[in-house]
Amino acid sequence: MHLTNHKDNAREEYHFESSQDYCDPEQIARVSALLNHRSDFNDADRAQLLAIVELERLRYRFANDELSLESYQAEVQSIRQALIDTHKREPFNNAKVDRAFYVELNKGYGYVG
Amino acid sequence: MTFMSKFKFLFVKEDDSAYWDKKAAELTLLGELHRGNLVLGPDDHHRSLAEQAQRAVGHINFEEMLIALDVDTGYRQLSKADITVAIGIGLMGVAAAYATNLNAEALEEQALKLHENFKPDGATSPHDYRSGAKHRYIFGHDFNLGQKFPEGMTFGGDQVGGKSLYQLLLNYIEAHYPGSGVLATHFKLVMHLLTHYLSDLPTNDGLPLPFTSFFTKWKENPLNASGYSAENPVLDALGREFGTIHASDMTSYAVMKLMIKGYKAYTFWGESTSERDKDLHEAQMSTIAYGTTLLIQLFLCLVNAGSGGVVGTTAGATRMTAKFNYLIAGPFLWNASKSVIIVGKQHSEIMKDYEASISCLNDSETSFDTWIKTQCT
Repeated sequence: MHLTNHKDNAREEYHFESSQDYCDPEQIARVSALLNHRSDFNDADRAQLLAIVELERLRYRFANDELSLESYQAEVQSIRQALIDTHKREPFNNAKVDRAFYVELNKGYGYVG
Repeated sequence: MTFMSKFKFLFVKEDDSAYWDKKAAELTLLGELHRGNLVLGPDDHHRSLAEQAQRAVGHINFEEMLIALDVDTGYRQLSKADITVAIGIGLMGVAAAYATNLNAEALEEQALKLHENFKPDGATSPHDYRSGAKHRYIFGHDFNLGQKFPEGMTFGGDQVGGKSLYQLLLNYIEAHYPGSGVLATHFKLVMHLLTHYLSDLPTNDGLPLPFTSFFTKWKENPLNASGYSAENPVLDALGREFGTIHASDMTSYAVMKLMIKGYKAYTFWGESTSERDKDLHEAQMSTIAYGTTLLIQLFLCLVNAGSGGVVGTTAGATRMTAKFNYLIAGPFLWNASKSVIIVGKQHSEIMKDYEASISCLNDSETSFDTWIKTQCT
């Protein structure tokens, strides 16, 4: 399964759930660092942010053949389930953290809507 | 005709008062001849009727002649001033849309505060079970309460696949507001849905056109956390510009409607014009005003105005205004049709009168004087 580096498809809006692209770890780390300082995030928000960052890194590793599809899927579901178990929350729920992460990530690629 | 005069002709029709004044003079001359108050001279036979009238009775004002004959002059045709005002209202409609888009974030914030009254803390609404770019164009934002997620889809560990949006909303409200009766539950359900949509209206993506989610296609996708991906080919083709409704569409319509009604009240204040003529005037004004807004917004779309503008900036507001305004397009078509229908009715009534008049004139037993009397009654 071939995935495109999002820097080559930056005219489109990126989101883990709606794109076949992957993002560079530098961009993921930049957004993570940016949002980690948000004072309005509670424990559940920070756990959600961490889950999204982990999922994005996983996709990067899968796109660069560091993981098989089976391992990738299993790890994605494991991260998702862990967040549900601890905070009763999905990583992608269109709420504050999900929105903020992808707004900043897309900005980093020059996408403005 | 020069280019500018052709362009002007699109908006301002030529002044026809001179034509009608000439006809009034001709009619006055014929009347005077019929009553025997005037007799044509030997030279007059070589002149046209208009020239004869000019020599014999001089200039006659058509409107004044109608008043002297006790003919109702309440009918008010669209003047140059009316057309200018209508175009001005159209421009105000665009300005209202732009102002709304410029304040999109503040409006969204206010709507979200309202939504909080019908949204339990921390609980994700079924409208948002599907996440991702343009997620509203896929699920739950187009009044299609029967739409279902694919079988097997889960959210927060619960099975949500195969259930309709209505069922998901009902479960959601019942779970978070236990003990509510059927009516109260449904009231909260409707308010949750409406306030959710209200908070999405001012945003960049707006709301998709009603029932376009019928075209959503789901497929399994091992890359995603949900295990599914989706696309809506109709909304992909229409795009944000032609496939959505925004708060700015509503404000532009409301502002224009208010101004058109206000201008109608001002124009006909104290006049004895019939309701049908007032309606025709309003429909014509509305057609021009809504048409102006539609054209400008489409022009902005055509030239890609504000491209790349961020929401909250002037460029962002321009980009959001550059779209097809469905809430204006509907009233535009309605008023254009209404104008045609009213004029058609008036025309058919005039034709009936003409036919009655001609048949009276053709009747060999009817004298000319009797025909004149028939016309005046």
